[in-house]
Amino acid sequence: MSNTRAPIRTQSKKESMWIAQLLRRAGFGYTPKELQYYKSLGYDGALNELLNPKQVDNTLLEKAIKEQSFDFTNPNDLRRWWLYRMIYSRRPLEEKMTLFLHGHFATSDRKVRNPHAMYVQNMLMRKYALGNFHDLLIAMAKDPAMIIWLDNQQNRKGKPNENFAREVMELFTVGIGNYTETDIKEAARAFTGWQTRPDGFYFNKGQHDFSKKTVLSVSGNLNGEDIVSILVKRPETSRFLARKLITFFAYDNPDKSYVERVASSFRENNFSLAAMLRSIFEDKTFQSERAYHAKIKSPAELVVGSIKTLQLENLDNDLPQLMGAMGQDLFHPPSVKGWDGGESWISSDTMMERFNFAARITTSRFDELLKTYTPTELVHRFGLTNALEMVNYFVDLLVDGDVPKQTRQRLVEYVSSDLDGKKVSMIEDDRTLDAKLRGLVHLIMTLPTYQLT
Amino acid sequence: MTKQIGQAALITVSLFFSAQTDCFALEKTANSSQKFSPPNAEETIFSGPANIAEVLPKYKINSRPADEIRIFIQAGTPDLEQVRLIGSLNGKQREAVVKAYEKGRAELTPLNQEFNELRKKMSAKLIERMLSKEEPQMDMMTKSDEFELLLKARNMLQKLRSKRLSIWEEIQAKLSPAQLEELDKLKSGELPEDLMQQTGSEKK
Repeated sequence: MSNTRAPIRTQSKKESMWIAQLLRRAGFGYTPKELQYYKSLGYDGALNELLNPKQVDNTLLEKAIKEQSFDFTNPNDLRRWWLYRMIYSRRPLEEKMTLFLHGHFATSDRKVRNPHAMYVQNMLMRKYALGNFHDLLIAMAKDPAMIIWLDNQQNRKGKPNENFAREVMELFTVGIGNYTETDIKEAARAFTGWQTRPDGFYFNKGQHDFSKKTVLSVSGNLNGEDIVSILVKRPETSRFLARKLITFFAYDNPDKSYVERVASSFRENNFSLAAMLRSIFEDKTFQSERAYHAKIKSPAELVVGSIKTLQLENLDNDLPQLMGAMGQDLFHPPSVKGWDGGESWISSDTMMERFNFAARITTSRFDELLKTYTPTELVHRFGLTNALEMVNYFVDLLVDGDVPKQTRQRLVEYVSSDLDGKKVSMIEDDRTLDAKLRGLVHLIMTLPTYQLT
Repeated sequence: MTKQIGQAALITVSLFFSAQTDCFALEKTANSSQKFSPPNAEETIFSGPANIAEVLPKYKINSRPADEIRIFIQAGTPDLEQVRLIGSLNGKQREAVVKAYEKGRAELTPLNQEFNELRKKMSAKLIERMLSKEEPQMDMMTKSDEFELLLKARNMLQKLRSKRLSIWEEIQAKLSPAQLEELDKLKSGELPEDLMQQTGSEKK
């Protein structure tokens, strides 16, 4: 591992840049203060904190959630609850990994029709987000929402239902091409009788097939837990998961050697997801041009990141639906495969929704931006004495300073003209300045770089 | 691909810019200082560990009039989709609950239609006044015909709310106290006892 480790140890401008990237990928972006805090820890310190969420006190969030009185039998409240966690949790990687797992074990309330069961599943994913994949897979196989979603309730001795057995191989572990139809049929028998009833998982002994099965060349009186153990130990599983995790957290189409490094950390560390994530984020390729601003933001990253960066505190009720219109409806993944991510996030419709979102938060409807930073205060407190400084400030804040020189110049031109388009050396009145700053933030949020993480 | 997307978006942005070209007066900004510190905004949950325990996140869900109307009429009563989540409901109860909701829905439909007709005639300002806790007064802001409309609409809102409450009362009678408690637990997000317990591998 050591020769692939990024040689960053001391705080530098570059290290700061990679810490910012780490927070965008291992979380949903940052507030300026949060960025400052993680920078003070250095890259290794920041990563350690992200990978050890249980050591970070999150009681304030839990207390605040109680005060919000979310109704966990209401699907809209459930979405708002999760969005709230994404925005305010002090354990960003735990939350981001939960989102990954929601896509990996994609279960939709459209079929389950039980928001509380979806909530329980989500909490289970959070519990194991940085834990042991073997335990997570067993928990998922016994999860009531999953049992309903993949029809295991109907998987009975003598009349097996193959849905769960198929997906556990194709989508959750070894991946397509690494098993046969016979393996699926045999594995389905091992999961017979794994059912749910109102108080949770129920092993219906009378419906379980206790006879001999053979799955991936292992024979015996196998049950569901045996199947999980067989699958998790397969090297294909480590590679399948590694590729998926790298694609989610680092960049699309990773090369084989990166995948292998991450996969081996999984195998060498008792199937630990945290070990895998560590190897992704410590890898030199993660801190390279290949990864920098190289992924299209998911709607969750775009919405939560914008709220955090601009420190918006007033959220509209329909924010989760807005994310749905952008292509990511929480608790309603499009299929058993979850969200494809990458370029699939972008279409003419979803791009319009993204731009509408930018317009919405920079107008007064639920924008708190200028309540926190009144234009004059901003100018005085941070010594922003001219258009370029204002542009630099917001370009840094929103896109890590990553815009072409020409674009920056266009933004300066925009700020340094009054509402009639006349150039001015400095905008004196607050109203114009207010409009200009809102316009500036809107323009930056519609830049290509802002759509990238 | 990322670059292609970038270019597509850039074209859109360029169009946005070009539409505003008129108001972009060119100006060379002097003293282009690169010093800009991160904003020292008011404390938030992200402020770092020192004072974190004292700071609560400020989050408010803004409701639109349509949401407020729905919330008012609903009066915190659960709907069928929620009640059917009570795991201990037996077949007979389930049937009775569904029947009661269907009957209630049939009674609510004409009232809802009547209310929607009234709503269509109301301005945004009048809807705001309808939702206000204050009793409406005939004043400069409300013309007499508007005032009548306002009273009618407020009346109808109350009627809808009362109907919802009486339907729920009827349904409640079909459930045991333990089942009502079960529903409350589901609503508040209480988790099954064993969910957060440690598993075998974690103990290793």
